[in-house]
Amino acid sequence: MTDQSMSLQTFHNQLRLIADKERIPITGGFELTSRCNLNCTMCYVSKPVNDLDEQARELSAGYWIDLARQAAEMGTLSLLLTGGEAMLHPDFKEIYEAISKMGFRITLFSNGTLLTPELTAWLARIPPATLDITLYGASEETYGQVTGSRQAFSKAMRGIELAISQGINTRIKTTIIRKNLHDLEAIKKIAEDFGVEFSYSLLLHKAREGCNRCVEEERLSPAEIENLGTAQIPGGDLECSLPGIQELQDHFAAIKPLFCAAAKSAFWIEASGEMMPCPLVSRFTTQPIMAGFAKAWEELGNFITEVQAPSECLSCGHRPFCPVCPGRIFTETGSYIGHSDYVCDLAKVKEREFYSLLKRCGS
Amino acid sequence: MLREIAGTWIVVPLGDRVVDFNGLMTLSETGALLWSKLEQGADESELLAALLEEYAIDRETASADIIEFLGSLETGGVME
Repeated sequence: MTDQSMSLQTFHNQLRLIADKERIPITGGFELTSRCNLNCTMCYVSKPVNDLDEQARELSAGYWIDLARQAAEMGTLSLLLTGGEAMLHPDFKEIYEAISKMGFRITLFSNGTLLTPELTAWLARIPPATLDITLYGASEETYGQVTGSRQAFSKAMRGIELAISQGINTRIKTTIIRKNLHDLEAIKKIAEDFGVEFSYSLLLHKAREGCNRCVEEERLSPAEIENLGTAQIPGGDLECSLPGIQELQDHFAAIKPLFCAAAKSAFWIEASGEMMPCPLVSRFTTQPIMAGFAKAWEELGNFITEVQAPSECLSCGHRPFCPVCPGRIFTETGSYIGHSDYVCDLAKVKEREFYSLLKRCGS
Repeated sequence: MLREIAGTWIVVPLGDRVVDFNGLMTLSETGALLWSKLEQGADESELLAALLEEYAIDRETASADIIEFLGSLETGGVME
């Protein structure tokens, strides 16, 4: 009558197969605010904390709570609350408290700097399934360069400490750019010392339309990523154990669709209430506030039929290793069918790393 | 909290239960019936009555199923 043996990832993958087919929005993201108290040079969305025009665009608690209620009715299970910095939303506590009672598996993204003892104790009473705190460096110097705030480092560390001490399931993640690459091992060590899960990303999206960031100057080039070794291979640090290698081979042998779950079983709602297929595709929006969630979700389905994949990708031999998706191609090229050297080169790097790993392991 | 998503019955922990049971539990149709009764505050005898009313099974089998069900919830950290 119960099944506790399946991993969450396996369960989610199985559920997604059904949801993709039946167009059930099982996964969603609420970008509660685009504002952030940090000013990261590579962020694809961040607006200044005191941007009053931006704040005026943000949905108030009642709208977010109603959207969440409708999403739950439509079948949403996993809900990501993020920003900007989500905790900056003036109604954050009211929104979170109501949403936490609706039966979602909630993930909360934060930079951790706004967590006070009081706020953390409150959150610990109704904790998210996971609190993902992004740590942008391992020193005040790096924080100053990446986020524009040296003091934010100690605030983030304090936030992590508070969350863990209150029993909140906390994970540390980071985004690696040229300015904090030298801190990667130190950030990993911080996560180890806290005893929490750690992950990092080297892939950076260009800024969403309307955001004035120059990610190209900040992100690592595919060649720089290749110099890091097997950093782009999932589990690339693993020993050459047979199950590990087999798992990797299976992973890359699977033909990946060019289209992800966006608009099939996943949605995104940005700060002013526009529904998007994913955080990157801001040109394709529907209006859940005016039309209702169900109607907006139905209309979002046009994304799947209207958007074509780049033809060169369909027969590409590097495809199993490629991070291509409509959102990434769109932010890179301004078109869904454009050509991106960055994306192509990333695929080639990953492929070379994979075969190099196999060779090292004698497979 | 019991939810039916994409034809699957899923128990999602709420509030501070997330700390003890940070996962999801899937239930069969029978499990979902028992869980919904538990949410209404049913005791073991009421669970038994619900099973006997809904399914054509004997009392002994139903009792054993209920004990197994409650045991699995306790083992999984879903219930105190």
